[in-house]
Amino acid sequence: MFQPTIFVFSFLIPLVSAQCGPGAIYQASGSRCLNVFRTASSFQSAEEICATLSGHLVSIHNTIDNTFISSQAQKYFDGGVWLGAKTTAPDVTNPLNWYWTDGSNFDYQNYKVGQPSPQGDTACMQLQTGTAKWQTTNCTAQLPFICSYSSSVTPTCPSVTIPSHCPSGYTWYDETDFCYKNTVRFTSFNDARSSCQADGGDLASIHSANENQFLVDLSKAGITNKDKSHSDDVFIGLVYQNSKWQWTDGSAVNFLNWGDGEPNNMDKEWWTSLVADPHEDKNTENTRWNNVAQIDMRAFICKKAPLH
Amino acid sequence: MFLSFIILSTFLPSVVFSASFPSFFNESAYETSGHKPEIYQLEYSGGCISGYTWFSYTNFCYKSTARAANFNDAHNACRSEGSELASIHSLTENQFLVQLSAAGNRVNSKTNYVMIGLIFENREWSWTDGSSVNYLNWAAGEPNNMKHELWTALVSDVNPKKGQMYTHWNNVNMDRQRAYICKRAPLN
Repeated sequence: MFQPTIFVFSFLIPLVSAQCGPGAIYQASGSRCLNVFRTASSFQSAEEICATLSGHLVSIHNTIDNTFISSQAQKYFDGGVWLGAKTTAPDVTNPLNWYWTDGSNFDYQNYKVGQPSPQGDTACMQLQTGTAKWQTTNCTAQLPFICSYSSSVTPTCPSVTIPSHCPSGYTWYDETDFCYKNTVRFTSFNDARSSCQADGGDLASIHSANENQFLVDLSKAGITNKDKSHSDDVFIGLVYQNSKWQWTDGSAVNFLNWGDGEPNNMDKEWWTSLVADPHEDKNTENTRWNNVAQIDMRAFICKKAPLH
Repeated sequence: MFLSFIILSTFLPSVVFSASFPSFFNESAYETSGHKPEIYQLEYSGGCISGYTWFSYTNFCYKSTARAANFNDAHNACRSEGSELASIHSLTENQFLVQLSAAGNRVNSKTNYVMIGLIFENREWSWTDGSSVNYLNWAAGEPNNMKHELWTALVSDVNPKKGQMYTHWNNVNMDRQRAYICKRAPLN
């Protein structure tokens, strides 16, 4: 089962890949490789095929990429093609109900007039290559599709990406090559940090939007918080000390993701939480950071290096 | 071709190294008692893919995803990653999954549970990953409503109105639950 598939793709893509193999399209922004498949498939089958390339159905985050991907796909066919966006909520108009299969934020849309329209329990997204507009479709529809994978990965040699080893209870993240653990326990910042240090790690630092999204996915409860407190957020390791924000693990502060209007109340809010779930009163803060006073919080995230 | 060979050869020692250690922690605990370095190394023997959490007790990889999904959605999502909805074979494994998937805040809706892979099919309960049903943990009075509640959820948070359900299982219908757990073997 597994072997024939690898053989087929090995035939299509040489063992040594400069950037992308022949037949694949290099997407400079994001250093991604795109493969366009004419074979009509359901959303699920398409995603599974992309997984064999160590990738996912393609996601789109800005107009430039949308135009590029549409024009590239149009070279192969005119019509609808799967994107990697799906929702299982009735309200298809709320972007928060959608997700990209590659885990990135659903932060850009380019709907055709009259879209999106409900499709029942679930809906998936298709791109019209001719117009570069999007529309919702039943997930079982048979459409061509586009896979996206990192150009730094040689898809024909999956063994190259042997995962690093994390201790029991920790989760490896390949992009950073670190181990993370989300602990759901109502606790203070100091107790959270002590707990991480007892494990040989520290509270998590965040150095990119991708790492941020990974930690959101790791720690979110999947519930919209109704009250206004931030005790339903998650502690990370950013503290205000010596007149500046610093990571407790000593790494450089080279990425920031404050919510709108944050940080504020600098006379007492010297610690930082990751807003992993939406708050009804502050929707824009979801997935971003908020500085807090000395309060207990629902959970905290530890980060430590793996043993290879 | 040549470059690829070099890349592969540098990884082979890692594979050999990993394979030289026993698979199960309990088994090795007796053999390595008192030898900290070896125990330390064993604690790191998980080889889970990105996003998955290794549990030494079972030597499996798990991933809890907090995204509204019914059984079909969860089942398909796990399989798209080469996994299955999680099966549970001991109280220890059950408690690990409760911790892994807990929300940690007020949970009072009947769809705020976590999908696992137990389904009622051919007049019996079975795990979608094909493993045997050798452990059950139904909440008091469950399973019930067998006409339409053919799937199973783990109650990983305290519901103030149904406290006795916490950490136990409840059979559910096709409504979307708050989260689901995938399970797969490590790569090495």
